[in-house]
Amino acid sequence: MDPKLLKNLEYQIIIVILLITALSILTITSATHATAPGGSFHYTKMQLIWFLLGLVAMAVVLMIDYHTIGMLSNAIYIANLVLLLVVLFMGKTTMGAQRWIPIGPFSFQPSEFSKLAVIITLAKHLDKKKTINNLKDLILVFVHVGIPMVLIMKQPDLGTSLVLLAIMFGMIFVAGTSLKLLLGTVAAGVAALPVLWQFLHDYQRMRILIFLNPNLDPLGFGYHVIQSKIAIGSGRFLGKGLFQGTQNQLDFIPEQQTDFIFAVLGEELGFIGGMVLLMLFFTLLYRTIRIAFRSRDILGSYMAAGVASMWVFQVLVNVGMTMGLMPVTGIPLPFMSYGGSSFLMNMMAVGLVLNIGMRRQKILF
Amino acid sequence: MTYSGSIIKRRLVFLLLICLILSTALIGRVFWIQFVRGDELRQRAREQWTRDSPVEPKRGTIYDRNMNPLAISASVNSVMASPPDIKDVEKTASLLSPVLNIDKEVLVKTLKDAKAKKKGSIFIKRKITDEEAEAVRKLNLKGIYFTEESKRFYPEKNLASHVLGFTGIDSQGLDGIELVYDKYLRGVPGRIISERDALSRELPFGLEKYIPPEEGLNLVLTIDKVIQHIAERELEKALAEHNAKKGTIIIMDPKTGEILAMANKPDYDPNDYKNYPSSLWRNSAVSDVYEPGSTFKIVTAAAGLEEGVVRPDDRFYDPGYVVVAGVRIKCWRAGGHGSQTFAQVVQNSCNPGFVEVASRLGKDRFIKYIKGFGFGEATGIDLPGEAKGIFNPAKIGPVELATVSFGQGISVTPIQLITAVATVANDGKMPEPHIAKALVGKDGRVVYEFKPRVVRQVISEETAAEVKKLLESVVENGTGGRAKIEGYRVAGKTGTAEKYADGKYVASFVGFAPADDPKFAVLVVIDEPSTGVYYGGQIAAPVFQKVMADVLKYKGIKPALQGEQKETVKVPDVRNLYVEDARRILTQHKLAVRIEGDGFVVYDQVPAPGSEIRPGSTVILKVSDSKTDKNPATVPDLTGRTIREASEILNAVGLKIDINGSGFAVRQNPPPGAEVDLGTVVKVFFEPPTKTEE
Repeated sequence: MDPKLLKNLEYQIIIVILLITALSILTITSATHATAPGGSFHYTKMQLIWFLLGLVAMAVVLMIDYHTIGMLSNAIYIANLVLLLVVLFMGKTTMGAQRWIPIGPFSFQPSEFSKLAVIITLAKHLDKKKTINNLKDLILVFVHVGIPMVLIMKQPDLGTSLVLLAIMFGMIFVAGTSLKLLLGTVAAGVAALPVLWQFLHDYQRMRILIFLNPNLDPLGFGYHVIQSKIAIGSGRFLGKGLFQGTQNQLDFIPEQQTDFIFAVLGEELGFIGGMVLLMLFFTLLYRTIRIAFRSRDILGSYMAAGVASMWVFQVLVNVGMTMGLMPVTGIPLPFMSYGGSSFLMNMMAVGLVLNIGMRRQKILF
Repeated sequence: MTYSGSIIKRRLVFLLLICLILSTALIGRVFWIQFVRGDELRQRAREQWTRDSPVEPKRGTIYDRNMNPLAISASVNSVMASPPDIKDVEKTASLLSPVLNIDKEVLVKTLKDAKAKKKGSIFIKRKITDEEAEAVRKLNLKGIYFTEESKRFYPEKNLASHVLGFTGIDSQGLDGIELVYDKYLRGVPGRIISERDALSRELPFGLEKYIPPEEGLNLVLTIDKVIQHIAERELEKALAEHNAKKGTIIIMDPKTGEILAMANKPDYDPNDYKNYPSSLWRNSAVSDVYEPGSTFKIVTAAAGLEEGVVRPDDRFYDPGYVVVAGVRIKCWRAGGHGSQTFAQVVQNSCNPGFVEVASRLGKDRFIKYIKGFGFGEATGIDLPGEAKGIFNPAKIGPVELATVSFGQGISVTPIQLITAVATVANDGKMPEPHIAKALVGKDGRVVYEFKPRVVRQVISEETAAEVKKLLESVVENGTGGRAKIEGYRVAGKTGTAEKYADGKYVASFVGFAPADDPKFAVLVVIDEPSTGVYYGGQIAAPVFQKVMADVLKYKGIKPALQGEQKETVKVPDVRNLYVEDARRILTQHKLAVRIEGDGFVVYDQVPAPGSEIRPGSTVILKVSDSKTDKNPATVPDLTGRTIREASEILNAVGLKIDINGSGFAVRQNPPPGAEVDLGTVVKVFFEPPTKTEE
């Protein structure tokens, strides 16, 4: 890689990521009672390790020209399917879902990486097609995304499969697919909802019902959302202070270092904390879309747009969920939620975006 | 860029827009939750992580004016459970159930529900007895503990129950003084706050805070326990004697408006108020209205004298009726009182005389005084549920003006009436009736004193003095004779009102003593006496007399008239009279009485009638309730007797009765004083009374 390329590196994105990660580490430390008597810094240390590994992964992705990555599209696509099949047949079952492949002391979550895989391969697919203007092209795209999606749904992991769907819609939207075709797809999807309902697991159906009415079962399924809202609501303007959130410290917030991390942030750092984090996310999205806009070719635009679609969807669903705007689905908050696979994947996505941004100009020899 | 570059760029801008909108929406939602719903959610958070056990404050004691306790609070135990600390619900419930006398299934369900709802603490049974507490303590169950609460006791039981009221399970005042001064008596609850985690376990490093409760203030009343007791005793006796439905006595210090006693019978025991019908909780003295009848003539007389439309020596002529706007209004006495002064009009309680005074006053001036004396509005006494009475000036026509002048067509509460009379006693200054004297702190320091207050000057001091003189003559020479107390100057007025229901009456008497320096104003109201007699002068005046006499004695008020007359008195003839009447007549003649024998009719007396003896000498009365063998018998004077009384008297002296008509005896044959053989039939003619007034 030519070191001159680093001149064009969007360092603002890196600053934003550093800031979000700093918030993440503080919040996870609080959420896991690391500072409480008898507490341990295990999760804090682990998240730091993921961050350092993530930086390495980001650097690696940054160095390989995204055109080269694009050319590996078929291999990536197949590798992704293989991993998903492995997890389906040999994976570790935790909390009723088969999502992990154990590697030594760690667990590896292929579905996280399939998001990035779909972004890369679909970008390449769309790049080859140039545009989607008829039903046949559209069906091909559905098949392309549908296969990994179904495998992920089988685990079952509804959240991640929905992320894939969001990535797909984001990318074909940017690819200029006619609005008529897009709206037709959405309409067909809505029409198919009653059928899809049949395929959902009981707990998934319950989550959707609870989303519609959290007080249906306040101590059971509705508990998560009610507790999360209480935590955020009790934070007020400046919050109760780091490590001072009663709802967090006393374990009233469920899944507080992963899916409901935003509730901990909202309680302890208040409106200011929540707003700062959301503004950081918006800056990240803005910078990413700006790179897509200024990309030297449409492959880069599609890839960056896919990454932006993934992040905006995950932020919306996760943060929305903690405030009762979205049903409870296990979608982590990028860079914030505790979890190695998710963190690594997101750092690699940052690497990809920076990669595109860095190579936006023809290199002058 | 290729052909589709421009559309891609447009779509990217659009995507950015979506991101902006969504980010803004999320920030908006954070704002909504944290600011709009923040207080509510913060409160819910606090409720979750703290176990807040209230500590009840000790409720203040209520004392009478001499610091005798009337309502006290004592600590009692309540059993509580901390559900997360109970491992074996079934076992705990089966041990507790027999000791506390609670159904086991109910207990199991309560505990399980509380556990499921992650409650930190719940009440198992409140305010248990010491025996129950001891038994529970012996069980030594984990997760079961006690909390101290206070329970209200009324050591004097029924005494002054309508004044005191009662409290509920949370020691909150529900009625009477307990309700009115609840915020002072109640105190401020303390609390124990301890942190709990999501599983309701007490935290080892959790804070625990104890905020001590602030005890309630003690309240001293104007009520005097002894006077209250006198009032209740005499009222109860009178109700039993006349088989009356209910009755009220109020005793007030007319100079300050302090209520010394307020009694209604029947009443209830506030220790056990739930086991009495709620109708008995009603304080008739302030909540119920009645037609005052002739007692209201005090207002008419005061108004007439104040406005100068009548003088005490003005002459009136009563033909037995008066015609107002074509309506004929009768005097209570058939045939009327003839020619009389206004003073005699008051003494005789002559209706046409008062109608004349009201018509001289005219509607507007009369209404001014009725309102001035406080009728038609609450007196503002510090008791709950005070009625305003029924007086609507807009509905006063000439006929109503006439009837209101003698107390009909207007309804008043007992407290209104006694306040009006106290106004006369207090030189025309209307006192505000009140029942709280002071709020006293735990250390005995007076925190607040309820000072007497004058509402307004209703009539001049001179007019008040004239009315007092007239009322004194009512007792001395008029219809209020039975209210006379030897040695004291007593002022008062009788009242009898017929209820709209047939044959039901309200007999009342209101007055004050000593007349020259009034210290006590007393109102006696007897509702629906049912033994035939119903005149206020017959029923209520004797009750007034006994109450007032006892109160004067208790408070050590010296008789003013003692030793006034040195000359001898002529012994009156009291033979063949009721013992009580004989005693009264002799007492009026300033003679002492000793009774020999058992019974209620006097058949002989020593010294004989007509003897001249010194005042204060004793007259021995020989009484019997059975036939005497004295022959010949003297025919007694039966005038004014009921059929029952007349036949009892005749029977006692060995004569027979021939009843003619009904009501009260008006004539008899042979006439009184005739000497006849035992067993002679005496023909007695009875006539019903005129219903308006005596």
